[in-house]
Amino acid sequence: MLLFAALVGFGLRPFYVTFLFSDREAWGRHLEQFPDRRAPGYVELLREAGARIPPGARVAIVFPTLDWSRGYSYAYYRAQYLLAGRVVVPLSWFDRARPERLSEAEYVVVYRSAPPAGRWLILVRNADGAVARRSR
Amino acid sequence: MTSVILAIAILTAAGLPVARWLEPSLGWRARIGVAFMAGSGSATLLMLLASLTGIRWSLAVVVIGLALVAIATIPISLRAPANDRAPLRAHPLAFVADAATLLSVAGYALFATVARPWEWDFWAIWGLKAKEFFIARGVSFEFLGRPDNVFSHPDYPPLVPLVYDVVAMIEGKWDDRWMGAITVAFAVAMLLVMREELERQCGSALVGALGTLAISGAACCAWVGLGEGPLVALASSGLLIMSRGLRENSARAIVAGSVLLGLSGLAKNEGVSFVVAAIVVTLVFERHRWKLVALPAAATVAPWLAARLAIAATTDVFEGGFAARAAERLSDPIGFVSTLAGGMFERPELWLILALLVALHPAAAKRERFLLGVVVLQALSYVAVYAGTLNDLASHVQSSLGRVSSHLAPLAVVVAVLAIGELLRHHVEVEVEGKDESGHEI
Repeated sequence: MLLFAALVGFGLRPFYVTFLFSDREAWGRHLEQFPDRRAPGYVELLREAGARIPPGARVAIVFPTLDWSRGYSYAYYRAQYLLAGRVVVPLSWFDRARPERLSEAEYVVVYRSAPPAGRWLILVRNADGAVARRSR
Repeated sequence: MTSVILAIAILTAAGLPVARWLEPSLGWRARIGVAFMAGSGSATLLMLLASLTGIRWSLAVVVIGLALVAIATIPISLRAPANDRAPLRAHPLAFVADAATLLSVAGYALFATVARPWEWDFWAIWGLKAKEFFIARGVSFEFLGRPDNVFSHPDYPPLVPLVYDVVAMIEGKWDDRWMGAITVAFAVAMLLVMREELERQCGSALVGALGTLAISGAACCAWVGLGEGPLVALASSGLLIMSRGLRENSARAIVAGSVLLGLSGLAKNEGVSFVVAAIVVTLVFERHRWKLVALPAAATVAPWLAARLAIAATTDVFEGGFAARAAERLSDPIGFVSTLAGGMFERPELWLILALLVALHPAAAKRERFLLGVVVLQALSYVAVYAGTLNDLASHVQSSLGRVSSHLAPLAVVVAVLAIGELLRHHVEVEVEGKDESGHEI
């Protein structure tokens, strides 16, 4: 019986019971912002991009870092999710930066970075960056 | 929220005849739990087959497909022998334990749906695929085959994204706000199966209720929105029903368990290794039953494995010189084990209790040799993956050991509860044998 009591005691997750009485609004706010806590404004910029970039278009993300493990992987996957239906071209990969792949993109989302070289038509700009289309 | 509730209701309703057909002796709780899992599996296979045959998904295609499966199953499910088991006597403490489980699950449901799923793996893998498939109105093999998408794991099975797509089709657009409810639904389905089966297999409503309470923490998966919760629900439920079938020589229970186990292979790759582990253990202990264990599971997971072969999706850890890497790491066993030990195990106390039970009561543990064997083999398969991983071992352990050990934690509790149930039953029988008809001790 002692082992059974221990099994029940250790098997429970008290957190779930206490969660019933916690400040769920605060939890909700915290967890909604959790994935993007280190890149304020990035999701909003991607939403702007989503409203302007057509399905199937190829988009590159210019982010303050091209280091895959220090932020670019986040930027890339977040863009893939929020711009689903478009093809997001990574300018970096786990082994090295690949800025040359910018040439594959028809659109670019620039977040808190200098605009890329080339001729681009700005579609929208805000304090955190811009969305642009390649100008022919 | 309405769409996700409707999706869960549709999947459960569609799975009810399938659940009854698979194992007619299931009580109402387990039947509801198995029905949701079977409905999710039916939807997955239907949507996968539609994609393979070029049929574009729509709500009508999915609902009509599910209805056809349900209608086709009703006549054969009604022909199956009815459940004639006498109900067990209720115990007041069992109500208290059930109420505590309910409270814990209610808290979990609020937690899992307090925000849209926040885990990296949701928006980089499970949710990403679901959204891409929803936009393409089919499993997008073009997306899966694109080299830039290799980190979203094209080799991962489709059940979880496709269940999300059922929700999206009901909603009419992609909205992930309430997708966490799917993880909750799998946890609830699993707990319903556990409650019924533990009571049945231990012969005690109290042990069933307390055992379910003990499993609730492990069943209510903390990784909301990922494949872990469905995998744990499908594999644990399948193995528990299968172990009863093997013990009681019930072909229906073995087949039902095998189908659920096969569905776990449609939820995560680790489900396929659960299937292999179950087959190997059956070959060792119950050789004549191996086909019943193997074939339904293999048939369930086969369409996805065939599709996976067609897109040549490989699992990254096995790429390029797996054996050589494993041999090199295992040549330093102390370093290897100490790196593994540095990871975060899910609920180590539960394993200690199970180890104590096995050590103190080997006879009770021997009765559960099938489940114990599967747990050991599955754990060894994880150790083998770590040994040969392409990634840096320490970072791979740090990022995944908690999750993969969570696959086995519910089974550890199940085995412990079944062993305790057997001990208590033995204890009661000894006490009864020690009294005469009037109840006096002799």
